[in-house]
Amino acid sequence: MSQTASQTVSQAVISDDEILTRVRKVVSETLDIPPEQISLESRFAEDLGADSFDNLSLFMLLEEEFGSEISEEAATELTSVGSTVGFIRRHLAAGEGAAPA
Amino acid sequence: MRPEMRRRVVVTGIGVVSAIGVGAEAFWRACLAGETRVEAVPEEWLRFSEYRSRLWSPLPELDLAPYPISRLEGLQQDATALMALISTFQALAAAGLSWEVANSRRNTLQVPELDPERVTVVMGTGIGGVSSLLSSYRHHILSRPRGRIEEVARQLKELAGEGAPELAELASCLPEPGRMNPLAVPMAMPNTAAAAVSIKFSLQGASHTHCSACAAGTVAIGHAFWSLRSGRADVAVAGGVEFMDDRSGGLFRAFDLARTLVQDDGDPERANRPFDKARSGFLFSQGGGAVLLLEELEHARRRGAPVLAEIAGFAETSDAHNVMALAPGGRQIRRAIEEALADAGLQPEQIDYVNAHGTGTAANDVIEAEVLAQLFGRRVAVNSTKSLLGHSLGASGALEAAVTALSLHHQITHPSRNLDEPIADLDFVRQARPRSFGAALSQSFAFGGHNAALVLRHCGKEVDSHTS
Repeated sequence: MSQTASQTVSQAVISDDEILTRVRKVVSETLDIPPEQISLESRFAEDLGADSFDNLSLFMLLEEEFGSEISEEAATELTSVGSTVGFIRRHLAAGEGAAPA
Repeated sequence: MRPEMRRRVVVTGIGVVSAIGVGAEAFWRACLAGETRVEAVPEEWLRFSEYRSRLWSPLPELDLAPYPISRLEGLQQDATALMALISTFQALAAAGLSWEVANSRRNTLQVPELDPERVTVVMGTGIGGVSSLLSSYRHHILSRPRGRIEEVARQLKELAGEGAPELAELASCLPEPGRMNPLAVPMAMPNTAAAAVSIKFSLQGASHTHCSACAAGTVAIGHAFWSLRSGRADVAVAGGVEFMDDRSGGLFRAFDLARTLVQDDGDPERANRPFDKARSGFLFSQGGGAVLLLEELEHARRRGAPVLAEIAGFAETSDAHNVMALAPGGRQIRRAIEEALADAGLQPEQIDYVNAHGTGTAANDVIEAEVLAQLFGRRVAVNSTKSLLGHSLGASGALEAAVTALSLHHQITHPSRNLDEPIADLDFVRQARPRSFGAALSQSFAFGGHNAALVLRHCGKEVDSHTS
């Protein structure tokens, strides 16, 4: 359906840096904040002002970006850029994502 | 209030998403050329059932790029809401209105020239966001069973057991479950399109939705007109939207089972034949949308808006007869037309053009033609926009009101397609040629027995020269 699905690449070639870059892009797009103001330490609610609807939107775009579903349980733990990058790295390492959505 | 003291309501902009054209200009050119879009139903649908009808009219892929609609909005809005947004952008632009960012994080806009509290949003739809509901529901019921079947197929294969390929094949035949959209609830609401327009453009007057099946678009425009005439608002974003694709043919099958759909007689483009003796049902449309920007006349004049036509009268009645069949004799259809004419202060002799409901079903066309013959005889031009577009349920009345307004504005209307042997002695439009249209009627009848009639008038020099 989307360009992002075709842009997703296999887990073997996604580095941590690339995951961070793509997460920052999605956070920037969702919250209308320039990427340079988003760091690995940024917390979605406290630092970036995300409310619960923003969180829903963020996870939708992350699913679109990385081509896999983020479960409800996982979503509650994703409160910062860092935790999200870590989650995606583990998810991809487990071979559960990065397939075209 | 004496009729001449009433506030008057005019159409100042039109937006359209249809199978034959997106944007009022492209749509109107296609109408005048008598274009249609008919295709065989998707192969995918044949996995799930056989169908009597095999034809439909698909929409072009929705292109959001020309509009300030984000990727996220594309994921979070139902197709009906997206079509309402696109049509509203077009209608505002046509009416000479611009927008600016209200909240960049929320992707919301405002229209500086309008008082947002004096703008009402009135949309019609038959089934609202049902396709979004079905999409999430497909995920809900299929994702785990499909995963489990795939797993069992893998295990069987490892054990070199029989049936593994068949099982894997079975899993692949289940429709793609997609995702459970966290916005499934607001996307599925019947009022999802009206809500989307109100929020996107920061419009704070009443925002509501008319669910009256195939009459919904006409009913929405009629009520928006009444709202402006009575002074409750000065501007209305009014129209109808529909999207009837569940990607499996289920919605199509429901209409097919009811034996309402057109039969292919060898030439798909000639199968859809409203008011013809050889008609066999209506052409199923994937959907569409149209928005008319309505303004109180003085409001439109003050800002020098282009005036396409006047909305002059509206009425609605109910058959109270059958949920799917029109009442024989069409008495309540006739009453809806007569009351709409009275609402407009016009006599039947003053009507020059009728945009008929004209579905192409056996019963509709006979009853409708009979009522038109009784009320108007041969002196009105009659066409069916559904002969081009097929039937787009709740969008149809709005698309047809758009055609009626454009016909009055341009003093010409489109041919009624595939009409070789008319069922009645009416002046059916066979080719687009210049006409003299003073007033026109657009009417819709619906499952549920809803009848609605809208009267529009040509706006000549008297409106432009401020002399009325």
